[in-house]
Amino acid sequence: MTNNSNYLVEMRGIVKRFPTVVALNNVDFRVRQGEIHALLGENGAGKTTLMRILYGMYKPDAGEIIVEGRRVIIGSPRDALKMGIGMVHQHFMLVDKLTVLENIALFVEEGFRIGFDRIRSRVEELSKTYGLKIDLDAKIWQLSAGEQQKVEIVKTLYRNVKLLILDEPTSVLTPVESEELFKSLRKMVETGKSIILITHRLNEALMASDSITVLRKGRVVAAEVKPREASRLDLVNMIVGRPLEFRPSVDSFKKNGKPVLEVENLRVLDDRGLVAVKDVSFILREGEILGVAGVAGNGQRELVEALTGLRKVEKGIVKIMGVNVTNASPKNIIRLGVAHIPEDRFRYGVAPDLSVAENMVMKLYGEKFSRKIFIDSEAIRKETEKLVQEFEIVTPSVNAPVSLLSGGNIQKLIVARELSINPKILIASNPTSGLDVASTNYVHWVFHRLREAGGSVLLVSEDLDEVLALSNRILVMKEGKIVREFGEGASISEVGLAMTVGAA
Amino acid sequence: MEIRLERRPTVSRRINISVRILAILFSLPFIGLLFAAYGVNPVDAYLRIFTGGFGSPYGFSETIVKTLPIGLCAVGLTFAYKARVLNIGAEGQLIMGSIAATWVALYSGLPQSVITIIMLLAGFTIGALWALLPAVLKSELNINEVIVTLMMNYISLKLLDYAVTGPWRGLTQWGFPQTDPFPSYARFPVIGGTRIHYYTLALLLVSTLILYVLMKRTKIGYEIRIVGSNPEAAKYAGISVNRNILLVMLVSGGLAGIAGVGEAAGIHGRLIRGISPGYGYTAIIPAWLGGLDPLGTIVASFFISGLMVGSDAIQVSLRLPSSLVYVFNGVILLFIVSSEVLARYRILFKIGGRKIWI
Repeated sequence: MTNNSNYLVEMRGIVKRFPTVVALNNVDFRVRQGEIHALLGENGAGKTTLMRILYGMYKPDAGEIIVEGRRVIIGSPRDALKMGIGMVHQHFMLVDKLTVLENIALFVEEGFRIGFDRIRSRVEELSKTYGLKIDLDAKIWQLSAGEQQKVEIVKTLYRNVKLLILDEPTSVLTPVESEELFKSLRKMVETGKSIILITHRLNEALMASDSITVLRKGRVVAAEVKPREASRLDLVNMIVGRPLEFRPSVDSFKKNGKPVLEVENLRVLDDRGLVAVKDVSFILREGEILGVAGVAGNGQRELVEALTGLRKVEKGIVKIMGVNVTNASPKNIIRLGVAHIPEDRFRYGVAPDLSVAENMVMKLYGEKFSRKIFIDSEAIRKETEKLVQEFEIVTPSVNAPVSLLSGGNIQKLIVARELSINPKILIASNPTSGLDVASTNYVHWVFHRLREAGGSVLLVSEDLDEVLALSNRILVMKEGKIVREFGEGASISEVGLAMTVGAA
Repeated sequence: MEIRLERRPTVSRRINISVRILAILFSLPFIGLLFAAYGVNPVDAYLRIFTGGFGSPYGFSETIVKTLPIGLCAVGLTFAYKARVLNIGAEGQLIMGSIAATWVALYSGLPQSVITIIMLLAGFTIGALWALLPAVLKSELNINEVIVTLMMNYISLKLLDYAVTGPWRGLTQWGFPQTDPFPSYARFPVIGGTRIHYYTLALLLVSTLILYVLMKRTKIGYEIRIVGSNPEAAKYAGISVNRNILLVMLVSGGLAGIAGVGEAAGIHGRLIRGISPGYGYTAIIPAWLGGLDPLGTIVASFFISGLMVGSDAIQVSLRLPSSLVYVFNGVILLFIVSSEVLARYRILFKIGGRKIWI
């Protein structure tokens, strides 16, 4: 390709350093007009950082940006929007208590008075053009994550952007919603807009994009690859830097193992006191991985917290290894051999001011790493060094406070700790969220090994691929109830459909 | 030129200490302006404060006398603050300790041989119980401990006033708001020629060491640090947050109570109105200044006490108003608290193409 004029945006030699790491090392990145360009890479590869530079949120330490053939300096998101560059972040920037229309007005109105009627008609027109249906008078808090995303997209389109950057847009969507999103994106491209799709999901990049750039550890390893010309395996190797060792399977399941976790008519309330888990019953057996699929916020979190003693059970019975542990303390549940990888790693998973080593033994310090009332620091250091190596946790030292670690490495620390207690039951919520492809693969292998050794896993995950690849049985949760159960060999579309519409 | 704050990858003990010393040095010129406004040569004033607090045998011993109550309260507070339980009630807990000691000394009728030990036990217990109420309110009903402990200080202050002006007013005291003197066997012995009551000194040193080891090397300390860093994570790890809240409040309240016993039995030999000139509040400063480390806190308590003694000295010798001492302490504290950010962040100056870190 010699014709440079049809590049909408070019970034050349971009360097960005953070205090402890070089996030971007001499990155070149180009997007054509009228294409969906996937920016693919593991977490921590620098995708979001690169895009935040383009959106004016970060200043690069070196390099230049060319928009429509002109060299520009983008000092702030305001500058970026003026040049026609918009971004939808992973975490939405919406005011919960305001309506959709008010939120959009907040973002687009430049004058003193807000012309609601003008804005309404323009938004309705945009929604129709791109197939983004939203109720303009609903309050944000009443909307699902998928609907909120539509608001964010419309908000940005209103500013007449030529380039729309979407940061991991499908992470909050059901499979059906994802398909709808891609349809809308296609329509935008047809009207001449360009889209950058930040993603760590290979399938998504292959299916939805016209061109793929792969980042690894702050460098470009492949630029402007055409999805039709690329093989899956090649791309995995490019993303990870080496072939993956483990292919998940469900073969080693021994049927009819004895029940290790029995849940009967469980009812649990959420933080607002509303019923979040409605009379749920199921059994987890020895040597089984039981998947719980569902769109986030359908009672999974409350279910897991109730099972691990962190939330009060209103009604029903929980038995572990035949012992009634309904409303037992977390300590007693841990003692029965239950490990827990929590959904929100910052809320429960770690004590940020304490060191990596101190966090690594949070579950076992009382039994394995103390003599009488004293803590055995030497044994803790050795164990931590072993686990840090095994799980490839990147940390300045085992004595560094956890607050210095990246999200992915914190997740690895939690997974390493929970598996180090040799659990009989592992309750895992989105265990691989924020992990790179290689670490995800490693964690899947460890789950698999745990099952082979007769352990059981309750795998609560929003990542359908993960649930399908590992689980022997799958429960689908919707609005606090278990609406469907699938055996092995369920297809992604069946499960995805059950997640959205409920019982068939 | 561009100036930016960047987070330090690690915070060493050396940085922590040097930042605090720098903060104190930087505060001096500002206080100097104040001295100058009163027509006093600032350098002269600093020298007098320093020699007054640390330079003479008398000043040095008086500094230790003040370090006893301040240090006991402060070391206890580090324990609570580590668990992120913000006990502001050391003042009240101290006063309750002195009231308990007075009851034992004057009204219990216990045998002479055990009276001092019972006074200490009673002081610890009452101080701990005074802290227990806010602790239970916090752990059971999630009521803010800052407000409750602060309010309870006023209750104890009024109890003290009631005792010394009402039922316990000394018959031999010509109507002054104070009790009769304790019998000699209920008074703490002092190191000859000074006012240093060494029972309390020994207890201060021992409790500092115990808390230091407890915090750094034991399961209890480990649990407390987790609770302080993230209570949700503590619950998740099977650690009882409520039990730890109660524990740290009992210990910090108890140590403040012992400080009160020391003031009554070691210094005044009776209960008086205003037995503490705010030691329990002052102690909050060295607890943070010492980085919530018991050993650092003792050093900081000694330093703060020296400043107090030194500023008392210049009040007399330079005829400065007594309120100047509070301004003096306040300015130093302000500098130390603001310097905290420099321990965690470094400043990056970009001048032209050059980068300079501090």
